Amino acid sequence: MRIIENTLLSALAAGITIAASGTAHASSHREAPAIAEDQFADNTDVYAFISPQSPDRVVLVANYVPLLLPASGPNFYKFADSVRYEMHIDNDGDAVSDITYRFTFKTKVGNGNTFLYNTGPITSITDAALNVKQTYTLTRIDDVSDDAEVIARDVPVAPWYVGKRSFPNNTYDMVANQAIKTAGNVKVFAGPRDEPFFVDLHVFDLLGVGGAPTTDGVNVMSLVLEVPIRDVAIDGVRPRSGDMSPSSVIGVYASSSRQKVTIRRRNSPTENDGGFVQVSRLGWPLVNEVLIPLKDKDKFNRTQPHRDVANFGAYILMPELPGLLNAVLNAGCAPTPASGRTDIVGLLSPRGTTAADLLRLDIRAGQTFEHSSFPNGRKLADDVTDTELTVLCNNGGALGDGVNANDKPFLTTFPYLASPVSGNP
Amino acid sequence: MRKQLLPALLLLGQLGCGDDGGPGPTTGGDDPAPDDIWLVADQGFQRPTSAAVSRDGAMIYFAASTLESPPRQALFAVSAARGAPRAPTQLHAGAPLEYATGMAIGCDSDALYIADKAWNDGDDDRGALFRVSTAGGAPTRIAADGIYAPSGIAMGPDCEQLYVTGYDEQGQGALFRVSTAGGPVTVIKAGAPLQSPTGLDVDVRGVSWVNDHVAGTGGAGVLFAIDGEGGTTVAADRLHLGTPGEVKRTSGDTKAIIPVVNRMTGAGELLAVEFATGDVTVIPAGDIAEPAGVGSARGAQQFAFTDPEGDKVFAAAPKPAPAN
Repeated sequence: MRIIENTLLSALAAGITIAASGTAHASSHREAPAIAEDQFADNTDVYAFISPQSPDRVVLVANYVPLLLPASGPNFYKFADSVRYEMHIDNDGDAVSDITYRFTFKTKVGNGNTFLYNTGPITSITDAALNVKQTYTLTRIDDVSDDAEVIARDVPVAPWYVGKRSFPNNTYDMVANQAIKTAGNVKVFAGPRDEPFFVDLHVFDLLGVGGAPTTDGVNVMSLVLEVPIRDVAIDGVRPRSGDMSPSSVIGVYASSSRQKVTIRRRNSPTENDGGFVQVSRLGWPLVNEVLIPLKDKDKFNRTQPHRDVANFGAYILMPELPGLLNAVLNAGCAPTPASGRTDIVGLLSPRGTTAADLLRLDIRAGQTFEHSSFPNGRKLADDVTDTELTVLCNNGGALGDGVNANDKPFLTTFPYLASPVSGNP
Repeated sequence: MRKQLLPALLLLGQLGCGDDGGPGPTTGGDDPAPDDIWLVADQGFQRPTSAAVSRDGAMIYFAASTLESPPRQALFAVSAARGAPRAPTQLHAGAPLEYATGMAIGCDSDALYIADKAWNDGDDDRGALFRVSTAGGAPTRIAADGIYAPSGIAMGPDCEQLYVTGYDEQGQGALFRVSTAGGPVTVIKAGAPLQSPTGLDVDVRGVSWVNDHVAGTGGAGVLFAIDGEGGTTVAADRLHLGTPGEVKRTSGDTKAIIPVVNRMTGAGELLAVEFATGDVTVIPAGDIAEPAGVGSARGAQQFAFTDPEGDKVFAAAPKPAPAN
């Protein structure tokens, strides 16, 4: 783009290095035809970073349900009760999930004889005036043994920020913070947040970026988990500082799954039936968005990361975007070598891990929040769009979309994402 | 008492003669699993769900959709013989069938019994049970008030009662019993731990072996043993069932054969679950993408599997003993 910024990418910490610099688009919002028709199951971004509050803990964020208008009543956004939302962690480098944290939701309507989401001001998360309440169960699954442990049940989801009349005197944050749950050594939050991904979505108008902050002012549904690093490390032990093995990094991706069969009935609720099928997944930002062509985008969402090279390797080696940048914007991107963009494959396979769309994070002793910077994990503030554009263009300069930060500051404490935008400020 | 249900049932079963022509339960030994699998049909239909096998093991019946647009729910028959796959015979297509997820066969192989969880007629959209001749023709509805969204169906040991999974009026997962001629419905079990019961098989003692897609702590699927009074025991869990997830017993009644999806690779597999111990053995399933429905003629040691993902139907039997 012609908002090419001369921001040099900082050297990436922890031995995970990036060769150059890059561009982006809405990370994974409505990125594939099928999931674009299934908004509540659409995962948009994944973040993974060492906790800024405690360097022996890791924070995982999975966002779903993209581009939500704050004034979206009367049926304000929530998670879908029929979807399994999951965060997956590969801790041995083979790109196969070893640990899964699963969120399953249940909605309860207090009074079905009103159209109101809330029947009065909401003063607490258990307030009877909050007419539509959603809760969830968090289950940790050891994917190796298939053992499952329920970590927390009936945890309340933070309500939608309906507006100033429903949350008078700026009480929303006080109520939403009651959705922060500590269960053992796990801290968890589920609810609406300000969309943390910042980008100029005009890029999809024939690469017409101009620094417009198109994701400002919208919300997203967030799952935030903070756990001890040892809980996600192989054998339950944090790798030592000099460890250079594949298990010195974790690979994170989020997914959503639905049951295979849906039966709609005239006189009774929709029925879901059968086994669960993955319908969306995401590790790195923008992989399915701009690397995978339309014909295979839905397949990408259905398949597992350890098969990415076999299924989609050609698209990674020969990305479409640099040629488009040259043709439309005369961006001067380097020609793709005959051998393909093995540098990108390398970024997806640090420390000898299997190349896949996983967000790899160095978890060795000594790693801190400051070391977590995309593509070594991803902090909320990382400008991944610029990073990926620069990597893809690969001409020694830096590219960017002109949007360099979120409109709302991130929190310094859990759940770290900014409060959602009010529907009636 | 129920904690010892499985071994106790096994012992009792030695007195039986088998509900569908099988030799009845054994104490172990030679009760081979159907580890020889061959393709019998892969043309003229799509999305096969459930399957049944004639008592002599010669014919396989299955439910699937036609290739039309929009597709119609249909019933097909095909020979179980080895050799090249062949075109199945269409027995029926279209109304009243909507989505046949369960199929059982009468004890004299003259009729198929269908569980259709999506059947509707005007305001009545509870799903329905049907009977249809194995020679073809229009299905006739079996009266079974109180069964909602029937999913699995199996013939009882007396050849006069059907066992059906579905939901009760309160929306609880449930197991029912009803005459093959229709009439009053007996609720054998309703509610927890059943959540989304699907395929089932019934042994000579009237114990129902019921799969449930989402039961279990990890929600990964469970095989329950449910006695005639509703006493329920987990026989196997973490099954990762195919869709629909059916189950059939082996000839010697020592194992359940269950089509599943490998949770790590996503590949289709058949599991043999030992009733006595809960031990699970994986039967290599070749190129079956997602085995789902399963039918059997226990006396003939003949099984059939549907593969809704691969649009195929397979036959299976124990490998012949090597000649000495």
